[in-house]
Amino acid sequence: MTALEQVQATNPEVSAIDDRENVVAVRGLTKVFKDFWGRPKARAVDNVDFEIKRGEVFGLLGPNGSGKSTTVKMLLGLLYPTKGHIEVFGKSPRDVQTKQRIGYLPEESYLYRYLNSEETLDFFGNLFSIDAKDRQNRAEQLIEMVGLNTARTRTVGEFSKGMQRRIGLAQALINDPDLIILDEPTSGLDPIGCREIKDLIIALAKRGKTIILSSHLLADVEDVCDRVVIYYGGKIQAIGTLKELLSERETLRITTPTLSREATEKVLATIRADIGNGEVRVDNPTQNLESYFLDVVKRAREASAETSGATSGHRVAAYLRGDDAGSAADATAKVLDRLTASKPPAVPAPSVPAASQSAVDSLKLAALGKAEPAKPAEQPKVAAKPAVDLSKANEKLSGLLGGKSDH
Amino acid sequence: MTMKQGSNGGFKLVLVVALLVLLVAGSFVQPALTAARARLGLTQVTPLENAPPVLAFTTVALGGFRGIIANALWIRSNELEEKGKYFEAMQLADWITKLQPRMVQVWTVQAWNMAYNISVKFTAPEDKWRWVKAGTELLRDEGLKYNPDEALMYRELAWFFQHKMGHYLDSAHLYYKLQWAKLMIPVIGRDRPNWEELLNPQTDEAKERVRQLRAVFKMDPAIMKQVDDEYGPLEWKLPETHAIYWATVGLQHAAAKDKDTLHRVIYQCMDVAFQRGRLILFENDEELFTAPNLDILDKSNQAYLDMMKLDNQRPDQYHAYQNFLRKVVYNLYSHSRTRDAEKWWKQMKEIYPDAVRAGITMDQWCVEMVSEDASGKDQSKTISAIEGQLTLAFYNLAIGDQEPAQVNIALAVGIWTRYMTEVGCLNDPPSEDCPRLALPPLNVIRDILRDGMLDKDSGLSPASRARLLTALNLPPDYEPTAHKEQPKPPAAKDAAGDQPPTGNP
Amino acid sequence: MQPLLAIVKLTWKAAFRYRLFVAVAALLIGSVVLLPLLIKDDGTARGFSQILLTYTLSVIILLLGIATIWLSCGVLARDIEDCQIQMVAVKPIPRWQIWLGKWLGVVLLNTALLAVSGGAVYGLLMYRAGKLPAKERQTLVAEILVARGSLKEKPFDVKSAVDRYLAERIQGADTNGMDFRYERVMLERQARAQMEVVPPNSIRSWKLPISSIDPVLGLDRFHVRFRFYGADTNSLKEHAGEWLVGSGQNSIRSNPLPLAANTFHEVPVNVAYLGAGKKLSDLLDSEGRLVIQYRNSGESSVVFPIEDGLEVLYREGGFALNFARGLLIILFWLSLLAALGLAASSYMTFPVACFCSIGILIVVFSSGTLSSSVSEGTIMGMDHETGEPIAHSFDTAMLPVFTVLLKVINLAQDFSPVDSLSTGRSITWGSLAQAFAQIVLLLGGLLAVCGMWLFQRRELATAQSNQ
Repeated sequence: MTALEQVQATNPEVSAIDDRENVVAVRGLTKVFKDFWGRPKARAVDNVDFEIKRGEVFGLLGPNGSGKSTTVKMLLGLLYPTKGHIEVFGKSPRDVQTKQRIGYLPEESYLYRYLNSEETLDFFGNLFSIDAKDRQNRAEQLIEMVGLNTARTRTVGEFSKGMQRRIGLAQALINDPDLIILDEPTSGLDPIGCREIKDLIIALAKRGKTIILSSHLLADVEDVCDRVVIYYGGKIQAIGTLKELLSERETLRITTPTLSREATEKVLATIRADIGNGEVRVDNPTQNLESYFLDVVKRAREASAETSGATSGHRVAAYLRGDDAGSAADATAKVLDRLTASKPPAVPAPSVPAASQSAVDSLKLAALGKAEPAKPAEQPKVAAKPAVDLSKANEKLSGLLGGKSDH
Repeated sequence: MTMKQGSNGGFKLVLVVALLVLLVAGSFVQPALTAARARLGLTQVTPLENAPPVLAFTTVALGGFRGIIANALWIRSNELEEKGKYFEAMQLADWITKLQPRMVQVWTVQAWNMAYNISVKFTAPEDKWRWVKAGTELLRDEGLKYNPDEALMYRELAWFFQHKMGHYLDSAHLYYKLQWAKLMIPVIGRDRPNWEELLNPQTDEAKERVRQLRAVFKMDPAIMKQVDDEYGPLEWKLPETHAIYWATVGLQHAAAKDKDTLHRVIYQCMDVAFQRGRLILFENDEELFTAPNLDILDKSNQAYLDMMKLDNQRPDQYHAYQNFLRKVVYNLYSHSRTRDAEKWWKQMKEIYPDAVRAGITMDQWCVEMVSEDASGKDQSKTISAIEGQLTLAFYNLAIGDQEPAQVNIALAVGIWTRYMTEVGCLNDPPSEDCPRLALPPLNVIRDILRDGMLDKDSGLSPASRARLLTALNLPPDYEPTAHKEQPKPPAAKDAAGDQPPTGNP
Repeated sequence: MQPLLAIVKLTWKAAFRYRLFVAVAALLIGSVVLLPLLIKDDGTARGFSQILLTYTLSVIILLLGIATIWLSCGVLARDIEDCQIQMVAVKPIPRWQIWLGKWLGVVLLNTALLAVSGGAVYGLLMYRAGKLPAKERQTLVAEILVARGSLKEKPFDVKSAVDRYLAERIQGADTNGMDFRYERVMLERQARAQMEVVPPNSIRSWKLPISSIDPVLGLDRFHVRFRFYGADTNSLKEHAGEWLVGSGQNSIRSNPLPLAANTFHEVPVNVAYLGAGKKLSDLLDSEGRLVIQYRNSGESSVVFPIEDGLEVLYREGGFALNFARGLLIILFWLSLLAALGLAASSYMTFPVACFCSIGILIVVFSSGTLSSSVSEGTIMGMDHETGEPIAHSFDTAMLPVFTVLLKVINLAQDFSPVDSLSTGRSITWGSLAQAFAQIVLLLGGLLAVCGMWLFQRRELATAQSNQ
């Protein structure tokens, strides 16, 4: 069972009818990249369906190469679907007039390096056939907005990555678009810049703009998105509002301060008595988007969904764990020892195979070990501020996913 | 993106195998190729000397591509000539020779092309001369610089002097000779070269002249003196002397196997130098005549003997020498050096007993020789022989050579008398055929010729005309009255119409 | 329109920001100024001007051609490879306009560069001409720095003449066993001989219908251009002949003039010999034709090939305008190159597109080989012993391809502005219009349609240059 099916089975609201107008509708979308001889090389997007309503902030999540960017480029008419159907504002994405209503910020700066900020905005303004006065007006305001006042006459080639993102964002908004497609909008930006962009997205959404946000920075998505899809291996693994996705109705979590072993045993005994052989898990309360995302990816992998993109490293390189002398297996064993030592006595969890358990653990460990190597893992986090948690999670995740930007 | 490892790996394997096979195969062919390169002279072992940086660079940098580029330029040059465009020829020749500076044929063909092929396509003598000069200079100034030891280059250069300028086949040959003389006069002077001064110049003016001789004409006064001593006295303002000079220089550099061809140039030019090695200039050097140079008779004779030795008594040379001796006798005779003529006449009879009819006198023999007709009964040949002698007589008068002129007239009379005697017109009574066979009276022939030469439009130049009038005691305002030959009416033919062709195909 | 112009402007900006424009302009002007110092001319002012015109214009074509291929391949392929096109293609501008904008940008750049370098050539020529002695300048202005029109007799139609003779021959005759091919060959030889051969002392005359060209009648000088062969077609021997231009009393007769065979002669005719104030119109016969006669005063026959004809060259216009027209044809070529480069880069990456475009150019430049193959009717050559083609099936398959290829190439190659300018020939407005139609509209248009179609179909986000 994929995460999507699981969610849909348990959340009837997902399929509830929304009476708002469709801005984007995607049905059965499939993209197969072929090699020179026309043989299929990679199935980047595989039978994807979703709809985006007007005014929504829609998040596309997924590891590298999961098909997010391919989907975005098909929405923009830069790639053509192998199969399936796309409608943007009710028309083909290749329709020239539709593009009048779209703003696009690509994942990297694809701007002309020899133009300066003003010329860049003027050029793109011209492509939208905006008249000279308007063009100048808007350019003025946009440059002001993205904070490039002091760099108006410097060419884009001289810009830092953050500045390039800013001018990129400015050009995406020059036509006051109804649909804004942002590919990794915060990559390369400082925390203040990230905040500003998120605020901007929220502000735009309030004005009724539709926004598609593709990102692997979960914090971005969690902060601003109404709905998200999670891609893995070109397939949608989960779709829905954040609330739907993150709440687990079949399970109950009891969050307490750290209990003694005896107390834990007692509580568990009580619970077991009540639910019989059902699954009981004791862990730290980290059920946020990050853990959900990892869970989805894990399950997808177990279901051996193929991915044509990068797969996450199953092991952290020895030198990164600060343990290059011992063998990798030894190291893992040691870490496991420490982990188990910090946990309540092992409660057998029959439904979860030991191997996969350790895999997940080592993943988590790697993330933790990277972020705070000295800290013992048993510290439960009770009421940590979500923003702080998320930014840590982002770091961990990006470590996990190979630390590369995703597209 | 995952790769199809299997198929890709297989392809790579194929490539590696192909690489190995080709390498091994190549190694078998390589020695043969290297040998062929050396054999065909494609490998230049010795570095180019005296080359300017551009040339040194192109020869090294372009490597084997030089040949291809040179070929492309050559083709272009041919195409342009086909279309009648010569303005690029000099540039293309320059490039081609620069690309292949060590290939003698490239130089000789390009130079030949200019001097022989392009020059004749122009009408004006000055245009023709420009190309003859350019061809000569290409060899002398550029070609020899990079190929100082190539006998063929010297032979070719000498040939341009000997044949293109020296010989009379080109309609503008007199113009060439005149231009060449004009080039030489400022350097070696109007008269015989002053060897003392040329070898050891004292004044600034003399030093400048010697510098020009070396820098512009690439000539060494010492070798010139050596040539003049050996073959001279020669006229250095005439082209054949320069042919002898360059052949001599070539002999100093050439390999033994190439020497014969250069020797032959010298012998042939010695013949020419004897026959017309004396230069007479008139009218501020605008008019030029040549006459025999009898001073080098012995040396010319020696040259012939040497050449016969060289060629091991080839039959054609046997006849050539006979011809030479005939001309020697005739020239001495016509210059009234009767005693010398007698001497050579005897010598000729000794060597070639069959050349002279028994019992004939030298005077008779001379008439027979110039009448170009052994039987003495061919009317048209006889007339043209008489006209030839009379024309020579008038030319000699025009250039002031009275004595030969008298001999020419005497010979003309001799030819006339001989023919008339043969056909029996001088018999008493004249033979039956006489009215049909008789020649016009000699004075009629003479007057027609004279008036033709005195014609203002088609005759001699005004200056020569004036000298001839003086020599003939005619008034300066003399108007030729003699009967002029009328052009034959052209056969009417109008090709613009298109009547069907008649007759059987 | 606004988006299209934005793309044009962007191309210009790129050329200036990357200093391409300045670099190419400097290179062009440098070579125009330096070339005269390096070239070896034949020593005449006329020859120098010809070689100067030929070489500077050729260098300009070469440099601009390379720059155009480079630029037109780069301007699109680089945008695609560096993903900038993704930013443009998602804007409301049709792809064909992006393509057209890039093309217009390159063409306008070429126009500017050509104007600058052409101006330099013109200035240089005028400067040098101005420094010549009056007599040489006169020759130059009469023969090179001029736009001369050309007039020929209507070429003799050998084929229809042969048809007619053959018809006459078989009329009423017994055609049984008649070898028509042989008859034709023989009749053609005969017809040619009738037209071409001028035996000694006979006359060949040409009648040129010059009264149809009004402005020419007032001229007082013109040139006659011709070529003849002697008995041996390779011989350069001189043949004497007399020329008579005009008819009746109003005619100019030359002295017997020895001229070399197998080469073109351009003989000046000065009508003033007839008398002061006389014009070309005075030479015409009653039917308004200019009659030119040649009498062979030599001793052997000469042959005036029908294909060459005899040309009267007359002043038609000034050099400046002709030069401008010549430059325009060069610009058409460059526009075609730009379309070629863009079409190639619509489908291929920059280096491959460059390589392909240059490859096509090489094929075009070797059209001489193509045309000789087509005219000989074999590609691999003939077996000299049997007279049969060596690879018959190959020839059968490839010759039609070659023929078509040659026809296409000739659409662009039939114009020779450099040649015309260096020989003082007029490039007429008509031929300019024809050049525009064939080179820019037809060939350029075809390439544009192909390029736009490919570009329209192309997925622009497959480039992975940044990964």
